[in-house]
Amino acid sequence: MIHMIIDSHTHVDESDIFGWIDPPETIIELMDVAGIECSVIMTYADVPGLDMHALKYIVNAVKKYPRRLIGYARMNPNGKDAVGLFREAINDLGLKGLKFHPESITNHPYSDNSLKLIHEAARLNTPVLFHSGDESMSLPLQIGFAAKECPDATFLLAHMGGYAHVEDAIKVAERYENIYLDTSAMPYPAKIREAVKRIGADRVVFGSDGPGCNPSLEIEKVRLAKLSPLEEKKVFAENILQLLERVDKK
Amino acid sequence: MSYHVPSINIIDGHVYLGHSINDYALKTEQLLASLEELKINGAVVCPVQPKDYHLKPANDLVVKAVSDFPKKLVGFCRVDPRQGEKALTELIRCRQLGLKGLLLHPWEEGYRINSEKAVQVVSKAAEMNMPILVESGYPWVSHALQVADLCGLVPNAVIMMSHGGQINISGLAQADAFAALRSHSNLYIQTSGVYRQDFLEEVIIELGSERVIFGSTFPIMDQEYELKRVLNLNITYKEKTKLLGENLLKLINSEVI
Repeated sequence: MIHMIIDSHTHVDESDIFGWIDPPETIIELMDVAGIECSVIMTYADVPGLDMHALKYIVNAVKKYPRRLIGYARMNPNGKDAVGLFREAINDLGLKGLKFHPESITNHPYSDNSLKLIHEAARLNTPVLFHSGDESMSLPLQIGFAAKECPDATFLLAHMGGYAHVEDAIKVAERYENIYLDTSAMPYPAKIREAVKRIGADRVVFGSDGPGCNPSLEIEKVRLAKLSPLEEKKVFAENILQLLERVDKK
Repeated sequence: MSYHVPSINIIDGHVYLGHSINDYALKTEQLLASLEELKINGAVVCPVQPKDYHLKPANDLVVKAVSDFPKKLVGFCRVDPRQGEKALTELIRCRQLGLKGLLLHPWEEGYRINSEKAVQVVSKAAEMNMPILVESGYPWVSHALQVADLCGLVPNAVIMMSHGGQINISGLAQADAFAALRSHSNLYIQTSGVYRQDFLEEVIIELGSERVIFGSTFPIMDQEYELKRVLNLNITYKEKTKLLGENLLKLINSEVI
């Protein structure tokens, strides 16, 4: 039985660049259908970058739905004063985490500028959500390098390594206790069960990558993993809530 | 989440039978049990690459399964185009034994899907009215535009791309898959592992529900979850009926299952 569901990975943006137009109402509607209480949101665009209003867009969405949405800053560490902008996003704008998408910013997870921003996230007690998958700059073992360099930071590997790097994602999470795995989009329910078995239920979090991925279906995937009620409780809500509570205690 | 599918004839368009060198395995009785449990009426069964590399016995295993359960299973054969004439001979043999289509797995066998030898095999399959299922989305060998190139080189072939023509969890391969579908009307996609529901829905809106086919790639992927992926789409009942069985049955000219 599921008491509460928090979605740790969704998108809110109106991106002409990708052609993905997803105002906050789109994810709210899907959350209502799926029974999701609260979702972490982020843009498709990176800041600093082509859309300098991206942080403001997230802040406004959270202001509009303060009980339903939690904002992350999606950052380009190579942009001008990325660290300062991120600090302002957390301290002044009320955002709660850092999102990196190495493919959209063409940047290795362990580059010097990435590490500077990750160290800042650690100082601010915010989680660092990394897109991970099968592409050249999003490989779990690459993110493992960053996790080793920044042991105080908490990393979440979105998509658990994608299609062909799930084993690598579980392996780096076994190796580094500061790595969590996010269940979104990855297509194998059995791998969620395996991850829980190998790294424990405390470091696996539910995420949907909605609205492109339907949150109801993503919930179904976790249910098909056949976790125990206690494990489900942790994966669906408790683990991510604990990470987000640390931000408030900085 | 409830899935109510009254009276839809559901056919899984992509299942593997046998014990793969890559360690995935499925026996006929296991498949039949899963079909029964999920209320799937039938499946297209394809050979794996077996541990000894020999595809002929793997094809024979599919022939046997189909002859044992002709109202449940439709068989596709598998050849390695790099073998040239030998591949063509095996393709013809399988056709004569009643297999209805051809599976090509450029990633596991190791060749480009638009290479000259692959084109030869696909041309022969098309000549024998066999639809071709291509394991697609794999880097270097079967990304969507390589499959589209194949469609242009063999315009009389009916070609299905697994995984929506993309194995990319950024969504950045969607544009190529769309471009491939727009440019070649003999190209279809299967649904397994397509993580963005909106991609499938947009293909249906723009290109029609005839171009999308349910296929799970069971046991590599989870048959129940892959079925739910399709059932969960925001499309009409009539469109679901097409995706879940009608489209495939038309392509394989079968009314048996």
